[in-house]
Amino acid sequence: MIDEKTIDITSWEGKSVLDIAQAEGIYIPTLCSHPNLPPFGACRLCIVEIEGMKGYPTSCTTPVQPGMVIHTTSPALDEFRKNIIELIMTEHPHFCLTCTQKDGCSDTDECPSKAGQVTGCSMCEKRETCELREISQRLGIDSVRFGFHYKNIPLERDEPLIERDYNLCILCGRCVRVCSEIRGYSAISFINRGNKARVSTAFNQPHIDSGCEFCGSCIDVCPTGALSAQATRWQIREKLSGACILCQMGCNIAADVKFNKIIGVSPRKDEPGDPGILCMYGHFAIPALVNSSARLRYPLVRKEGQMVPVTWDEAISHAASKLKEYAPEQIGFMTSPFLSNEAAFAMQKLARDGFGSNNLFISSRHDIKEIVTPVIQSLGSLSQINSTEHLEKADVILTIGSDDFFHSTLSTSIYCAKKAGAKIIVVDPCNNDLSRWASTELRLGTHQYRAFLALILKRVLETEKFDKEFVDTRCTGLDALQESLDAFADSDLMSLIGIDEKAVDDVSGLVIDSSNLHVIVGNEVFHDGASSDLVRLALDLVILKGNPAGITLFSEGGNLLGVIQMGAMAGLAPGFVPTTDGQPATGNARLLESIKAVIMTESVSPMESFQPEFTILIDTHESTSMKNADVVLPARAFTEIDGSFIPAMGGTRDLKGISGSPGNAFPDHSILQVLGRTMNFPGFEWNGINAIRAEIEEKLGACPAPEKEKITILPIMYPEQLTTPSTFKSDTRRFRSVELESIVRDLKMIRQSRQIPPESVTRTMIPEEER
Amino acid sequence: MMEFDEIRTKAIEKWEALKHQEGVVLYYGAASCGRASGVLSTIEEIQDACQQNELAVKFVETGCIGPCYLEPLVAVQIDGNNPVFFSKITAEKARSFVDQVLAHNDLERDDKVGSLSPETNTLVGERINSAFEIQVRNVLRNCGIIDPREIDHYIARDGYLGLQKALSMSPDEVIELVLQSGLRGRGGAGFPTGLKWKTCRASPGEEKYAICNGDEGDPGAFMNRSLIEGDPHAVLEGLAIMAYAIGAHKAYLYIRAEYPLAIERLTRALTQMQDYHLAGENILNSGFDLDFEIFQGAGAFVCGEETALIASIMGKRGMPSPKPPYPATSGLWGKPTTINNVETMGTIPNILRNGADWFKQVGTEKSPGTKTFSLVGKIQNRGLIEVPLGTNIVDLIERVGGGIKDGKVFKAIQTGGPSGGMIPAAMSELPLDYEALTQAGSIMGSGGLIVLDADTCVVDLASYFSSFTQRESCGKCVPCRIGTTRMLEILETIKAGKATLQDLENLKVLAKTVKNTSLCGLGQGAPNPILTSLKYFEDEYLAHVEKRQCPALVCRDLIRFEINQELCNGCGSCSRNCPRSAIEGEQKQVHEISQELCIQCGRCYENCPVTAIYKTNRYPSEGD
Repeated sequence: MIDEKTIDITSWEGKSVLDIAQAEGIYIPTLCSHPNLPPFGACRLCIVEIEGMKGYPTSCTTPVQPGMVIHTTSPALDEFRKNIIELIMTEHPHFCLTCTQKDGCSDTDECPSKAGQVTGCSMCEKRETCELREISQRLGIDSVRFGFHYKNIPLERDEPLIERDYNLCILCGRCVRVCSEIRGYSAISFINRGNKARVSTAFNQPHIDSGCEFCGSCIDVCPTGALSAQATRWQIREKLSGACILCQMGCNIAADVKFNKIIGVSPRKDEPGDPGILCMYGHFAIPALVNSSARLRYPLVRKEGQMVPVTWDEAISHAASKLKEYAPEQIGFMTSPFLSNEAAFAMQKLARDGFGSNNLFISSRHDIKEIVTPVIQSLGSLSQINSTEHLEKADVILTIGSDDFFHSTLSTSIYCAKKAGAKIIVVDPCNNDLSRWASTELRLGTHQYRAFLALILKRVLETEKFDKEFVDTRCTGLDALQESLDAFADSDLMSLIGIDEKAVDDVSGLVIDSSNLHVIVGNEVFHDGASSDLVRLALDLVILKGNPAGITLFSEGGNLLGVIQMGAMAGLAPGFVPTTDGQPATGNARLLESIKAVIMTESVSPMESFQPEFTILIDTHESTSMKNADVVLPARAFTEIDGSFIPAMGGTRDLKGISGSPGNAFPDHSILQVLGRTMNFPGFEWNGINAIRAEIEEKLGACPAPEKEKITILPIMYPEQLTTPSTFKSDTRRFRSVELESIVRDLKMIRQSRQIPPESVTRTMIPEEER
Repeated sequence: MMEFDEIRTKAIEKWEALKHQEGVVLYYGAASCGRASGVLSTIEEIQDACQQNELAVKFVETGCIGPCYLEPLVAVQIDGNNPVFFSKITAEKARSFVDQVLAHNDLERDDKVGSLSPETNTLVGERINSAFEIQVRNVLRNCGIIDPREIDHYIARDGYLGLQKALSMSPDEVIELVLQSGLRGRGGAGFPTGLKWKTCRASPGEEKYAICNGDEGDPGAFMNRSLIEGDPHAVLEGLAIMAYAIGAHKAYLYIRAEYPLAIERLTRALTQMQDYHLAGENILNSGFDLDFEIFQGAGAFVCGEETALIASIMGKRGMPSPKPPYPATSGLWGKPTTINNVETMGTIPNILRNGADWFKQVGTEKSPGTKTFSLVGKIQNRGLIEVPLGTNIVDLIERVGGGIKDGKVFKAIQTGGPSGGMIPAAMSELPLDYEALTQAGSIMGSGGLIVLDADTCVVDLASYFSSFTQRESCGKCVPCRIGTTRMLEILETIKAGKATLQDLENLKVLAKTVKNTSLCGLGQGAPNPILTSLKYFEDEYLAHVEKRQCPALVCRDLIRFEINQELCNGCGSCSRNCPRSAIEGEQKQVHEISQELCIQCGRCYENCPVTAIYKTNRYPSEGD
């Protein structure tokens, strides 16, 4: 019973009294408790009276028991809570709380960006969202009886991205707890004791050296203005919901939008599997990115060697008329993996149905064809090849060539699995961010990965530790795999792998005995075709273990999976249906050399083999490709459009237009639609995004089921190239043509602090004496 | 491998041989208290003199027998008679002592205290009877009597029989016995020990841990230290029995690093246990395995709190965690853990050997047994004592303590250290048991007893304890971290004569909040000195606030030192010692203290040979 109300707690096993109260809509003030964090019991505000229990237990730490009679308010509780807030206020600048003029003072009179030091709410960037302020207002506190002592801790403003004013810190411990228990980094902790206790890094070193990933989770959980994003400086109460498309995690975001501009971004936790974490790019780069002065504003057309702003009509007409001069097989269509599903669909329709061309490319630094083809051949589609849930419930996680630096959302899921007992195996030539959690690390060069996987597969088959039932009923091709593996003797493979046999045995033992294996491949090894067999073998491994949904292929571009599903890749019509228009099943596009005219949606590096005569560039930001472009059409960024996309961990997410675009930019799908219409192609009359979505749904629904009847286990495709090294490269992060580091300088400094030393990369073979 | 019975027989032989030795055996108390008073120099001198005089004397180091105010204490056993104790045998007295007592066996000296009574393990003698009469030395039965470095001494005096007995019973039977005895945890909370063990045993899981809490952090408390230094095996035997009862195979001794001698004693004792198969695998052929480990604290009072202690062993920051879950369910490494105080551990072997009924013979119904206390402060006989629970304060002060020092008046007694409270003289009929003390607003705590006379200012004492708890607060929860700081500030203001009645009100409000809402015992207990002194001595606070006077004439900002012109003989001893050169005066002329320069350090006051300097109110009332 809580506050005279009887509640059935049968479904509340393991929950706290606070959980129940909140579910029943009963207000209990809290500062140190947080829905994503285990309880701490430090602020003492959530105290309640429970009959039979002495004292005033904290409701956040007290598990609910049948028969409990709980009172959430009483004269004593009210007084204690008030005193506790007042005690906090004796060390937290609060002058606006007690100011006699506070009723007449407006929240916008002071600009928080200009304040040298926070002495009261009006100067604090958190004033709209400060939880301490909210509680003191609710409890009606307008005076502090016990004096005020400013702690005089030096403000921390010289470090990248995050600003810290520990004079505002109330030591709730949320930041420490999120960093250690959710992120697994423990870059910050409490130092000193008693009244001198503070949050800091070990030995007060800069955060860049303490292992901080700058994911900003600490800011997200801070109840006061102690921690803030340097660039934001004004947290707004009503945040707008959207999504981030900067990488394949596709995290949900909540944005602070002021005057139609995004000024800050924090994570949302809406979807199941959403950890409520962002990475440093998603957290700190988006406002600078979409508000950049390098945004394209107006259509441009090259006239007499100069790019001249023109109207949309003129630009589109010019583009259309020039395109008519080329035969369909001479025109290329390049889709950026950062485009929405609708834009990608429009692009493929323009190419296939409009121009009748099959020259669809995905512009990426990675060899997409080699990554995707094995999956299509094996599973028939890229849908649901994995899920966050699977990753977090894995008992063994094998990562190969996966540079996890700053993919904070992914590493949080990996850490979640680790907490539940998962063993993490890291295969990488050099120290990887996951090394700290790894139970085993294999420093293998890229030319050894495939041999390594081949050996494990051989052992899995030998020991018969694979899901026989699944393979017999749902798969085909096992014999072909066995045959291709038999071409290599175990001892040859072992010597190809070239490291201590025991290490390999331990790892293969873990993999073989795992009941819920998850494999992560990429992004460091996707830069050339040598990754093809790597994906094949990794896929075979998870298929054999009975769960084809256990593989994450981490490439670049938030909507890579979506644009492929929409058919923006040659040889794959929407819904992963192989095209049958006379092209080979894998549907290689015409060689780039034969492309004379091209529509690009992001900058493409100049190549000897690619010299188009006519280039239409649809993009968001200025780039070097503009030098060679003939028509430049300004596109809207992902926070300025409605749209859908498919993140790496499955499901479809929505992009929302939550801010305005500069100048006269339009969504990519609208631009392509107008182009199609101007070419008089039928089928480009969509009236709004829902119309496109309807057509996509219809098209995908009409396709033969993308799930193949039988999953194909693939043999090694290029056995003679088993040990060809692939290019190993850690990608810098970008959005279409923009390098994020050029927009936010701090990102470069942080990344360089983790720089993989060049010599480690070339060290692909562990010398004999070090084995 | 020698069977235990064989070991015991040999040990008894050895001990008996020592007790009945022909010639002179000299026992000297060299626990930390003895060492601090210089006993090692004394022994060096004595040994030197013995050598010179070619006297054959056997030297035996012991722990502390209790009356620390009489140290350095040595005891002389001649031809197997009960040892006779002599007090304050400093290095200077060594030669004459050797000459009279050791060479000529003449025991009649002014500094003779009394002789050891083997039946009660106490001292008897005219001088010392009152101090020991009502003491019942059960836990301390070996302290000051055996050499703590000799396991055989311990075994000879029934050592490890308790463990042997326990191993012959089932763990549940052992727990039942302890439950029946009514033993309550001696660390301060007074929780029934048997119940704690029972809950831990009942918790699911094979992996369990036993921990002995030796973090004794109360300033002025040294009961645990003395027990470990004087009789380490008693603690280890108790810990082994506890581990067996709960089903643990790993036991930790968490000892504060500030007790190096205790750590040394334990380390040596553990090695000895290993040699006799009393630790390690298959203890006493019972099939029970137990490993011990000593873990040193790192200077934090808060780590005496059990969840903070556990965090400390796990390498984490020593901050308490909310309970539930209790350590009995989820403790060290998340496994069921039992933590007991050193004294509780020292009590267990006695209970196993003598039974529950024996234990309940002394003490009260709800608080059976004895308790060790450190009796310090303005009392005549200061030191380590052990009395039945329920002994009242009057008996403690008058009989055991020998009355207030220098014939002054008893004002109050502070129990339980910085988490405890002051019991005024008016309540001296109060028995020392858990309930009575808690009702009075104090706590039993680990057993520190500080006696105050009229020259103690309760505000000053409260602020002393507050500064301790404020400094030792871990900083996790708001009421303790910020509340104790604010309370201390108010006390400082009161001591400086700058407080208002509103400050006093605020102090009460804060004390109530901190006591009721703090996360752990440190914060919950921190306001007790303040609350009890406010309750029983509010007039003293009011004097500080309203009249700016310190009735005890202690608070420096409220007093003045003056020289009585009629008594001053102009010796100049005061002005020579004054750190501020605040005293003027010609030789043989009356001296005068300059109030502008004086910092009230009190050095002149302590040094004046004719007691001509007196303290008085700086802000006298009307008509003074």
